[in-house]
Amino acid sequence: MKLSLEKALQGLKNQLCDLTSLQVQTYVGEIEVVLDGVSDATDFEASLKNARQEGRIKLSLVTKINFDGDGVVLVPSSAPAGYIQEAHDAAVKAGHEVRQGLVALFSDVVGLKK
Amino acid sequence: MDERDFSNGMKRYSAFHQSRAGKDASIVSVCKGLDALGQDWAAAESDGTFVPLPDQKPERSADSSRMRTIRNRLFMLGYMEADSGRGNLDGPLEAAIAAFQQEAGLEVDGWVGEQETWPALQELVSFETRLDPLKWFRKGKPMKALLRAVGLRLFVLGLLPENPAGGDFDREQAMRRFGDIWQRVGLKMPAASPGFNLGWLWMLFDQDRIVEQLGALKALPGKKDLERTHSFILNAAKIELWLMGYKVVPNGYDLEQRKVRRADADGMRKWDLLKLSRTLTQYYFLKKSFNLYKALCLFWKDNGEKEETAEALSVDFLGDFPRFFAFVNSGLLAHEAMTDDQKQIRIEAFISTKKHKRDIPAIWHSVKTLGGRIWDGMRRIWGWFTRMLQTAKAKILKIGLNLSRLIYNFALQSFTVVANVFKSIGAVIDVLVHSCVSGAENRKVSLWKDGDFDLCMLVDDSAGPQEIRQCCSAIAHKVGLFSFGCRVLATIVRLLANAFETAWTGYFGLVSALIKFRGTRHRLQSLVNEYALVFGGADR
Repeated sequence: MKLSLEKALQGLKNQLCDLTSLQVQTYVGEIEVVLDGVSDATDFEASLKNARQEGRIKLSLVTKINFDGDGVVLVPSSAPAGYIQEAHDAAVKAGHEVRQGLVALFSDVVGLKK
Repeated sequence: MDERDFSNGMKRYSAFHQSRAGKDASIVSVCKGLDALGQDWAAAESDGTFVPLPDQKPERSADSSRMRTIRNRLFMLGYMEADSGRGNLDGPLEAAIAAFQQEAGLEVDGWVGEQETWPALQELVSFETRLDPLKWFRKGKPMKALLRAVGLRLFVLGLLPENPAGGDFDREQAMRRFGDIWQRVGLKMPAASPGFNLGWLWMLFDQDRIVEQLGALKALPGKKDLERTHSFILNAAKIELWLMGYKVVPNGYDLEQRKVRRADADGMRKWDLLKLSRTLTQYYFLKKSFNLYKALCLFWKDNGEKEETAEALSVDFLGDFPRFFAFVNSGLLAHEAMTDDQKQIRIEAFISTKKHKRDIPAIWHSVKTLGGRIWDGMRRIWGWFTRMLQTAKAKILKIGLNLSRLIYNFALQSFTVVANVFKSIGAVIDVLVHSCVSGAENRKVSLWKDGDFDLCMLVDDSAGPQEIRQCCSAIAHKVGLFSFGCRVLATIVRLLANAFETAWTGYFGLVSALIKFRGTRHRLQSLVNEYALVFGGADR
């Protein structure tokens, strides 16, 4: 288990090609929830794909942050409502936090800092 | 006898380990393994194998051993007319708990929780928990619960002929008698005059001090004083032997009032006893208290004395009682000098030997029959265990009553911490295993991650601004848990690297895993505290 867990975390670390940047996309529209048929969990990918194909959602905001300091924010010509911007900002903040957690995990367990 | 299947102790973890998933190095697989461990802890709690007392009354208490102890203690304090020995929380027990809480100045909820009522019961009844007398006075008057406990303590020390379970006795007179006996034995007197006062209450409830002083006596009391004090001395010895796991009950002793019991229970007849005893006093002692004699013999033999010497020391106990108490006191001092790490090393080494692995399931069966002793005498047991390890006795040590409670208590101490930690890492497992985090059941806002942990947020525009904000707040909470969980997981992996190497199975696996985890409990406890501080104990 010890080796297995370490290997797994190492594997995850390798799998993550790029932890040095964070991209957050926010789509807004009419969401039809698709369940995965096994655990009744949301099949997010299927929901997104269907909605895109049927034109029911549109990409409202995109933020890409490089942790060397550069950041890119794509804003559409028609600015989204304030609360959508708030939701997007919350997602960016969540992305930061998730990365911090992962870095803590990797640096402690498999020595990312080494 | 409980018909429990002990092979189930680590059922889910063992199954995971043996399956293909156990050999798969993916993060999802490993997290599932941790999840299996968490489920095994939860099962151990729900089926009553290891049960920390919750602060609030649960729907059903699975810990029959603790319930039996609580029932017995409340009976001894006079809150119940009879001790049915049942291990469930029934109406009469609940009423007795409420009555105790009322008289002890506690919140009355009919439940003995870990934080308040259990420590109060320990303080009043356990021999190893120090009493803080000040706590038990209100506006200068003693609480009724304290009076009951004083009566019980005087009785088991042989200073009252019967247990005044209702607390109705002449407390001044009884405490003055205690002081008189203390003086006659030749023990160091406190500054206060004998009576019902703080100084003497401290003495009465400090069993360690009694042992220390009896062990330090340089001169024995004279014949006349010994006649007046031997009941106290013998009962102090009974208490010590009971705490150390010997077959004797601290049930008081009064030379004049007790009927002579047949002393031939084990084939030893009165005539044999007479041959053993050199004086009439010895015979008197032996025939009145045969169990005490047998327990003393075993005690000395356990501690390396030859049979003849053990018998002689036991027969002539009153002729050299300081030797016995000095020996007990040395065990207590040895325990005080032992660090947590040293205890951890000793117990791990002991249970990891092949011979003892087979015996581990017997721990649970012993625990079921231990009653109140499982929660008392642990410091003395450590002294006993250390001496056993230092002598050849270690080779023949079996998982008996003493080792059962030592190992059980040791494992139980880590259970609460470990179970809570595993609950908190559920959040990190959830996020790692599932690609989607929903803000609410209606999924008006969802967050999806890809392999790089880049995020995609999906907002249903049929939801109003307020609903979306609430969903975002819920997502932020889950992400916070995830971030915290990563730190916990990292800590667990780092601290418990060795423990993860074992494919734990059965009850042995459960106990040995808990004992290994115990070594890290301080670090884990600080994480649990931080978790409660940041997340308010939610989702625990």
